[in-house]
Amino acid sequence: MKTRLRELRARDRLNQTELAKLAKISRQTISLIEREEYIPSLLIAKRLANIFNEPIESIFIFEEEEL
Amino acid sequence: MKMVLKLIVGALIGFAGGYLLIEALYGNINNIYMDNIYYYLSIVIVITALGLMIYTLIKNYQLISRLKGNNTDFTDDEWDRYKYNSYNILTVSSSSAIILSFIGLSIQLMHARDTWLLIATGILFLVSVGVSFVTPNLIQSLFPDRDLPEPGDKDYADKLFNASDDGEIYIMAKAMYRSTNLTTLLLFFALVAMMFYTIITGESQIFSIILVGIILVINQVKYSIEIRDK
Repeated sequence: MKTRLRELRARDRLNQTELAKLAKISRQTISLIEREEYIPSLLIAKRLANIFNEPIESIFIFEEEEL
Repeated sequence: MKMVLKLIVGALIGFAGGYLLIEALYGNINNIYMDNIYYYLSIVIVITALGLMIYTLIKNYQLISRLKGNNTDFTDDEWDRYKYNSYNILTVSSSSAIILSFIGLSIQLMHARDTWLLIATGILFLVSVGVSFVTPNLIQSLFPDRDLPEPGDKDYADKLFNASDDGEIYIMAKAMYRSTNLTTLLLFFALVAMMFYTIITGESQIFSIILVGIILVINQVKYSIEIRDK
């Protein structure tokens, strides 16, 4: 899985701590997702999509083989 | 590369063990005076424990000072990372100080030579235990907006998991699994080392071998029970 989270954060001028507060998760989890070491739950993915006003599929990009 | 390093380490350990065994059977290794080795080793251990305890106190003080200060040196992300990693380091250093001072005290009690050293080591152990109570209380100050349990809480594990999000639980699970595997491996090596030690020095470690073996079995059974499909 690839993620555009860091790019979207930079676009909206949010640091990890601020994004974590908006998404009601820890900064550590944001860092894990950005490092692509963790695939978030649907709930977290939906929250992030709402924050950035982007569809989930454009934030989290999966390879064909992964699906 | 990792596999090569593992093979090299395994070969070195095997060689050392085998060489010592041959020396014990055919050489002059029985002339080693273990008491002397233990005495000086206990001094090294006690000095290390003292160093760790002092480090814990200094780091504790630095963290509390920063908590009260403005923290203009850090961005929000850096500050959060600093708090988390500092608390982690403090926990390791304070618990290591207790363990090492206890080992030093045990050796001194068994091979008592200098009364002053025995008393000093005992005081160090008690102070290390006292210092260890300071660190856990920091957690509420470091993360006041988190509903984290008190360190002595009887349902600490459950409450900690409830207060953590999915990512944090994922990190904890990975860390627990890796450290459990490492503990099992190290305990197994300890069994082998104690067997060689018994043969070489003639000091029976049968009680320790049996105890470590029981701990290994209980560890495996406990893990199996916890992950059982209920």
